[in-house]
Amino acid sequence: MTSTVVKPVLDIQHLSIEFPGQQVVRDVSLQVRRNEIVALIGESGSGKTITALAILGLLPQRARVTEGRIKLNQWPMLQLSDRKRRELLGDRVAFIPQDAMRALNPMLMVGDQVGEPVVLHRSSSWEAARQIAVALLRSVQLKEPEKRIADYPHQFSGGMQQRAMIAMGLALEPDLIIADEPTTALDVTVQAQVIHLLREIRDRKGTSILFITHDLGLVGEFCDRVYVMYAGQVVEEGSVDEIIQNPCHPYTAALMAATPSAVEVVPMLVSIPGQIPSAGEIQTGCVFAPRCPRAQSLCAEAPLENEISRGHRVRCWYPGGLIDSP
Amino acid sequence: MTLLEIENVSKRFDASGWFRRSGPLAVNRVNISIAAGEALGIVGESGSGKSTLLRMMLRLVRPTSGRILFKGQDLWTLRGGELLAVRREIQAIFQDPASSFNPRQRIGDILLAPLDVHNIGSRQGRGDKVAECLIRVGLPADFVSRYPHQLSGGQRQRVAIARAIIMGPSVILADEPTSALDVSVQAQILNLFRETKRNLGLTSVFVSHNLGVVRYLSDYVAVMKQGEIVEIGPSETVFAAPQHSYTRALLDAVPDPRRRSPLSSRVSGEGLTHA
Repeated sequence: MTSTVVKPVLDIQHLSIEFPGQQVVRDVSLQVRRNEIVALIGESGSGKTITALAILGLLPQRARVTEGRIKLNQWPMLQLSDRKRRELLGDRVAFIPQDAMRALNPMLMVGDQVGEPVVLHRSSSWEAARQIAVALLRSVQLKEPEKRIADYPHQFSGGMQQRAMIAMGLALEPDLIIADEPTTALDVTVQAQVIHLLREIRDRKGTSILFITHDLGLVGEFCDRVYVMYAGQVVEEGSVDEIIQNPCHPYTAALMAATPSAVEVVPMLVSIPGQIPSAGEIQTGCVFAPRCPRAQSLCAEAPLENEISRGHRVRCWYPGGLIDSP
Repeated sequence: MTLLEIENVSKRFDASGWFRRSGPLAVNRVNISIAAGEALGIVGESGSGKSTLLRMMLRLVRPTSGRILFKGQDLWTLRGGELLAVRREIQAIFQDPASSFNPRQRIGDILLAPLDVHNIGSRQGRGDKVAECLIRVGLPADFVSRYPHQLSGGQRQRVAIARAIIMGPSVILADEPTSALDVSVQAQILNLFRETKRNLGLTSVFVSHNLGVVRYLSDYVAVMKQGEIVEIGPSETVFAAPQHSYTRALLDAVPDPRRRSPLSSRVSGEGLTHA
């Protein structure tokens, strides 16, 4: 909070990741500053989850980082020894997965799982860790945490499991929380609570959050800045207000026009023709060109990044406002 | 004209096992009448009974009490030829065609199966009909020789729509038809669904947890909570001026990029529920 130079908590530069024969992430640069909630939005196959796993050093074995660097505070995450990485995971950076049920160990009591980081990283006793788990579970608004710590995961509802995962992530007060679609499996009313909770944590502790999602609605209501990914590339980035009011990449604009709304009447959704390319078929040139209403011959060449306004960048030869017709 | 009538329908799933207890009511005294040509959307959260209700309309789950009438006939008293005739008229689309198609059948066989079962048309006529339906849902006719795993999610859902309309039904029942799809593809399928329904004059009922999808597709909407319908009415009225507090809570909880008041001002952390 008191630092004079504003260095990002997370700094990814020109990251490229390959699976054998396929490039899944291409030249991704992304920063998360202190106290900031940053969205990484994309559809399936966009590379958003792989990017997150790369930060944590948890890429699948066949994936290979071919270029780029990732810094979490002062630590170069791609060059760390396994031992150092294990020291940082949970301590400085926490991960909240989509499916809490699968992430929790069904054989262990919830309280022990939530308290475990304190035992592993702070050499606390299990007895003390249980007390900390109670406090953590209370902070995520679980009712009667003293009783609940002795429950097993299956005794929790989906929303409660996700709260327990968040509590575990908060145990060591990390600088950064990476949340991968943490509310996708939840009902909307429960989702709203979880989002509210994450926001409160940020406000209270200044934790930075990298929020991976496919839901523009959540981006609009919860995040400060957003990176839009398509087919392994960041195609647009900027403040959420700016991107929602003035989406300049045709993909971002199309995504807006394709999202049904419960809040207003949408006479006709504008659909994006074609399909999301699978990782293998990505060719040269603009990745969105085959589906793009604005595509011209120039789009056969890979577009450079355009700065629309301060912090609002777009990777398109013909950036502009909303698309009028399909 | 009323096409489908749900009369005081309840469903209780009984627990089996040593200590046989009766479970809670999954659906509790629901009444809905659906006019020909109407699009009814049913929304609710998990466990609200929306899918059970739809499955009862499909005659997959037997109501514990109450009746479901199609053109005045009780679905559960029909037998033989009468039942077969009604089955032709009511077709279904499910959430994930990857699991509702036989992975070892080609698309052509998947589409032919209902025609064979109901013995419709000549051999040649059936083949033509399959091709016609594929084109109608925006797929090339040569897809007949492909297998489901060779198709993308959106293409598979198009095939599901083709399979539903190939029988020339009057009603289509859909359970979360686009929940497995990405947004950019979802819009294609929603538009196709609307267009098909309009062109063929179909009546439709679909269930979804996504309020935006329901608003887009339905003329009427029913909001379910814990087995009961808490609010039902014309879609625009329910969405623009919800009367029931639960409907309002649901709508408030939906994040929407077009809305500028923050979620946290509408929903408190404790606020809503039962989580």
